[in-house]
Amino acid sequence: MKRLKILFTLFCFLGLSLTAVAETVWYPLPKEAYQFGKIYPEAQKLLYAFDYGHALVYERLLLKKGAVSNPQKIEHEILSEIMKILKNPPNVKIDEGDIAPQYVYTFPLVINLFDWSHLLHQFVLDVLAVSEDRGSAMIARVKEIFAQYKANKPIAITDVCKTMMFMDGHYFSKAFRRTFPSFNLLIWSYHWFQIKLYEVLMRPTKAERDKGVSETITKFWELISDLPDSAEFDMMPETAKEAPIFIAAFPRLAPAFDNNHMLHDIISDILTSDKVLVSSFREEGMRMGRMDMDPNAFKSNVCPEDTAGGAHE
Amino acid sequence: MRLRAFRLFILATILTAHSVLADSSVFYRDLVLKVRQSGSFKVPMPSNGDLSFSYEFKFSNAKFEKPLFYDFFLDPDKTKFYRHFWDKIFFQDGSYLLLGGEKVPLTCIYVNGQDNRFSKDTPLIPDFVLKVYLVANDFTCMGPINPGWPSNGGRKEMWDTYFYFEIRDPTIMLPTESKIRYRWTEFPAVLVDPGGSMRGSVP
Repeated sequence: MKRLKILFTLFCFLGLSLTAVAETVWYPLPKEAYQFGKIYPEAQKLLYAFDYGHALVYERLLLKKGAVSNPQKIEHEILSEIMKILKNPPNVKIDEGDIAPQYVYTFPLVINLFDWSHLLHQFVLDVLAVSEDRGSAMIARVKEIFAQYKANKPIAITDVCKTMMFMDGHYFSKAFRRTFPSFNLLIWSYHWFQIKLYEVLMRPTKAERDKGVSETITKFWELISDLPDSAEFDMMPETAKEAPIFIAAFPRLAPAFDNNHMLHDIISDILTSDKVLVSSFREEGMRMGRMDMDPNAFKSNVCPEDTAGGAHE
Repeated sequence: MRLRAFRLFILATILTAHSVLADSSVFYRDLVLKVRQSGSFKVPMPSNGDLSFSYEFKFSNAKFEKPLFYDFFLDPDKTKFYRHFWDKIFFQDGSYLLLGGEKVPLTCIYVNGQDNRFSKDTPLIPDFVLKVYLVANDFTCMGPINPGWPSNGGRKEMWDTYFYFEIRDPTIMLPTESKIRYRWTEFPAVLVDPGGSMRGSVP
């Protein structure tokens, strides 16, 4: 028996040395994968619609680069298209490459980062949705998923807090929100919706969580009911502010999510700014993507998540 | 006493096997690192319409600690076999595929190789066949096939753009049978200049 153990250990040693480390495909999927959509289909479909909306805006901006003489008109046109999608959202997760082939081709690293990060977003929602209580088993499971995410270093966005200068401190920054204020507020409303879902899913009972998700959906529709006036955001919604209970449980997830959201805004600015040539898109996308992965780039010394206990997580 | 000797024999066999496997791993990794790090090619078209393209890359970290391989035996006595091996190594940022004035980032190399030294009895069959993919736009080097497809969505194949060629002679590492896949569309290509360096290293 002892000999068998030795043999088994040796074979394990040989096998482990061949383990792969980098994947955009989460394989095998967590057992909770996409269960959030079964419990909260309306919210899940909105999340699918956001993916569609993001990709659609990026593709249009890319294809119309240098040919936008009337931004308000373009904004109005695309906004009305997106509203139709939001009101009749898809039932399935659509491949971004099908909606926005040029965008996907132009920003390969950023797409890898987004894809991997969006899987983390989804699976955390799934775990929160299916867990009976908010106890240690659920917390451990979320941390397990997060550890799996972080282990994939070639495409993991850092979970170290960055200052807002990461988003707003470049030569092309704020171009998107100045040129297309309604689009920008729509995207910030998406981000608010995602963050808020995490927060309400931390409520102790299923009834309270159901109510919270329903209220979040209602509030989201209010936010985008009359853009740009209906959404009151002066700045990108931050997880620390919008989801304090969630942060207390998962301090390091918040920066990981915020850094993803900031990168979305950065790409919007790159696509909109007159200061960035089309021929530089790929290079700038790579540069910004690498910064988003780098824990030292634009590192914040004031990180609410650290005081919540995440510094030693 | 006999039992102890038997145990020692089993243990020694395993340790020797591990040592042989480790040696082979080093050998195959070394072979992959000899792939030429630059080259120029073209897709021949009539009326001077050739599509010229080139590549240049620098190796970064390997995706696998060691190349993967297995032996496929050709007879019941296990005297003849050929060996399949696979390896993936990331490229440093700045590696590129240049086509149509566009620099597409090359992100990794994937090699699907066959070692025929233990099976052949004719010089007409090459000792090695390396099927080389210089992969663009995939910073995870996940492909060529999406492992969870179709249940995890997406496409069956992972790579929209790559440069493929085969190497049949490790002494010159000449790219042959080349083709380029550009955003899912494939074109056969021919060599213009095999490029310089034949030796890289993993940092």
